Amino acid sequence: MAIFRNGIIAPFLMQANFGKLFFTESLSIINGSADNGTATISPTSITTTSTVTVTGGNQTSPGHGGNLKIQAKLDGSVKAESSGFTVCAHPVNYTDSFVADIDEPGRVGMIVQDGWDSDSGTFADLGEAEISEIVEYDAPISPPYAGGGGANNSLYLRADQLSTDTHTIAPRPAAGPAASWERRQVCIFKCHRCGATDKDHPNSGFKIVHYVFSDSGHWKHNMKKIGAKVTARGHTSEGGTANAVSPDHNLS
Amino acid sequence: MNNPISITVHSEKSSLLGAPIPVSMAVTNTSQFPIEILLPYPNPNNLAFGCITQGLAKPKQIERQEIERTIPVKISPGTTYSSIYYLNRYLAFNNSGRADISYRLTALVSWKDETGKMNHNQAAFDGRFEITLVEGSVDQLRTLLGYYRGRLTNPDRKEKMQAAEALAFLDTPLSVEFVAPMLSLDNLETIGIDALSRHPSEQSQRLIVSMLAHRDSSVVAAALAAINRIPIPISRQEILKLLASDNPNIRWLGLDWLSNRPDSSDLRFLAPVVSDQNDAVRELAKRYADILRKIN
Repeated sequence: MAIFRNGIIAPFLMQANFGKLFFTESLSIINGSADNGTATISPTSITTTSTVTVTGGNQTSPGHGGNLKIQAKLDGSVKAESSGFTVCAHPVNYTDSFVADIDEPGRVGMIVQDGWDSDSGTFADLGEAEISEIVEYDAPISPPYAGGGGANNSLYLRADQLSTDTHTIAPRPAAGPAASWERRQVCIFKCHRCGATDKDHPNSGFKIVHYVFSDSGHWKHNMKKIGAKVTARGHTSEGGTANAVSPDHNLS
Repeated sequence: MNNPISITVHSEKSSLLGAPIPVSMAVTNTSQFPIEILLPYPNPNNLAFGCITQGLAKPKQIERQEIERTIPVKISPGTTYSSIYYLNRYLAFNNSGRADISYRLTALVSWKDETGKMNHNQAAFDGRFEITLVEGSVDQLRTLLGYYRGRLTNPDRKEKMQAAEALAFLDTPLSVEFVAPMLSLDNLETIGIDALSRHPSEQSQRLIVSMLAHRDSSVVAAALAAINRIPIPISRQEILKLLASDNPNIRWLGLDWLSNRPDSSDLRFLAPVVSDQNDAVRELAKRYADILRKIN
């Protein structure tokens, strides 16, 4: 379960200096409620500057982010309060695997099954997160490819249901000369619980590469999708997990 | 079993000329197995409509959706999944009357058979149906568009997307005021920007430029794309403001726009981004600064 405090993941570092270290500070999470979410803190008492661990309980409802706080009391008096934080789950570790080939008169490519995890360990916790995909590509060598370079953002889709991705080029490439065409993909997410938007999805970088090549005198196309650290439209992510390869498609 | 589904497409009642023309598509699982089908919404790449009747409509240039990411639709045996598409994305109608419309849908259908083996079938469906378009008053049209505008805030994601699709491809400039609310609705901002860019009036251009202040970089990217595509005259200062965004991806977009239109006067504004904490921003800023120094 991600605990976000101004976008910084806990464990929360208490750096309050109370001077007299022989006193015991009691620590608690305040403002917990059905809307604000709940969390627990451990240890609940410290005698010096310490690192404490905050563990998310119930997730924060959308529109109520940032209301939970760590409160430190000394002899019953409030001595310090942290910035507000939110209990929410975010997607991590994107994967792709081959599902089906596309070999049609107007296009070639493949369909892959997307996958990802929740950082809470429970996929259903992602109910208020959404994922979008950014794909950037350079202008291809023409022939065999047609079209220009560019970058595109997909619409956001909910993060608690797995998606498929259809990677095609249209029209079909020409029968030679040999050339490759690389695209770079990164996923981003937003979270309605903590209000985060435009966040890079950890481990969601991929290269999508099309190939036109000669095989025993016949021109063919195939493509692959592999995990790799990439940047697309300024978003950078470490490589996801994929090694999806399409069958060969006859061009001549 | 090659094809575990059947498709029914129809338009139930007459539509106002100039208004959204809804078409209901029902996919029925005729098999004994649960199936999944890839039915993106909207679906410009895999769903096509044509007007068979002469003289009523012209085909529009369909903008291919470069990223085809979709959540598969699950359909239980014997049940039907329906969605509403709108002909306005595909056809520009210029006369009232009855028209025969053709459709073609291609979709991947997947299912596990009795042995547990996963099957995939890239199925194609062709057919035709009839629509009737009637003349209506501006007031009737406004009332209808108001109905769709109200549905933009529907909490049901599918309903919301269908309402946006209904309004986004109308050929009347009257649609601008009904599209404008999309700019402030989560997940509809980019659809709204693209829709406004099809009616490049002073009002729509002002609305598009205002989206440069949005906190989501995908929205800012859509606004910049529309500004370039129309094109909308914009002062360099408006773009330079993006460099001060607290979102690094928006800073990157600003730099990308500027560096594709290099101007030596930008150099004095680059100092903060040349030392940006974000790697991609910093590298792009350095490259752009080097180019400007060479120009100077």
